[in-house]
Amino acid sequence: MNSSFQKRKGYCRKFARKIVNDYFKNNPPIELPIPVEKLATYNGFEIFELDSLGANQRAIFYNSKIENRKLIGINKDYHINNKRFSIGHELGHYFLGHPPEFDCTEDEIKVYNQEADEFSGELLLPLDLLKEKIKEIKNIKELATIFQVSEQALFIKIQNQGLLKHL
Amino acid sequence: MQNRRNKLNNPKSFNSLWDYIKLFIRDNSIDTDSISQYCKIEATLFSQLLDNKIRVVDFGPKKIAQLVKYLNLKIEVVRDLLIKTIWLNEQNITIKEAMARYDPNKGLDHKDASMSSGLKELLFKANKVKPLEQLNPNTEQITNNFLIEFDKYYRNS
Repeated sequence: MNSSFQKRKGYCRKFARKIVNDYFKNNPPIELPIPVEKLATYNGFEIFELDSLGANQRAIFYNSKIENRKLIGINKDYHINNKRFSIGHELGHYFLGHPPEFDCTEDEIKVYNQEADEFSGELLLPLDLLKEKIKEIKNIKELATIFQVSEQALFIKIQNQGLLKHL
Repeated sequence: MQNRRNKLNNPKSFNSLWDYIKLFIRDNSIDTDSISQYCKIEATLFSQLLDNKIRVVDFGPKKIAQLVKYLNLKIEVVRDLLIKTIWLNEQNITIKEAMARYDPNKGLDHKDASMSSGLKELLFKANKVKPLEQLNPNTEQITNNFLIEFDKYYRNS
């Protein structure tokens, strides 16, 4: 993987941490799992559960610039962990300044989605909090419950952050 | 077939009365010619309706009342879907300003159609919370007038 992409991933994580820190600074105390819906609402997003999204579509984001309304639609048929991750992902698109999908090439869409995933992963699993918890709890399943994320998402995060040795 | 039935049991998942009717007809193997004949709707017009090419208000409340009576659809379902259909007929919604998240394991079939359908529902719900100014402000009035007429014809037909 090239270094500019690694840098960009680092930027996504840093931005996510800033959003989480800003939220808890103004809405103490720090709580787990990260209250992603409240965090989104705090940042002016409106979230709706949708019945009509196709089975392959997890979420949709619409930014109405005319009225300054940021709308996130979540497929109601997915698991709560997945819904939470999708909210984080859509927040990522917004905060990272990604253009609408129709203005992008397939390759760009792929990169933007990876970035939004990176953002969401950090938002739901902030590194400091994860490091703290991993000292006390060594069980992936238990950790995943505490952070309300899938075990898969947690494992990827632990692996990418070089925290496997703590388990 | 079970998928079809599940979808029909969840009318909220439809954004248009015509999409619901289309599936209902398929699920019950109803002959569309007999519908056209009974409700006095030309076959071409009927197929245009089912493809959402004609505005509900242009088709008229009387013919819709006849049609839903003939199909024996639940009135509550029809009313909810009419509200949604009219609302969406009146708006100019484009998916060009939206972003979506997909499940790569489930493929990318019907991506645009799914996005369009999701966006319509999203805007419909957001508009209920607080009216979206970019959308047609007369929609509520148009819908109310239509439903009053529809109810009248439904009761009398």
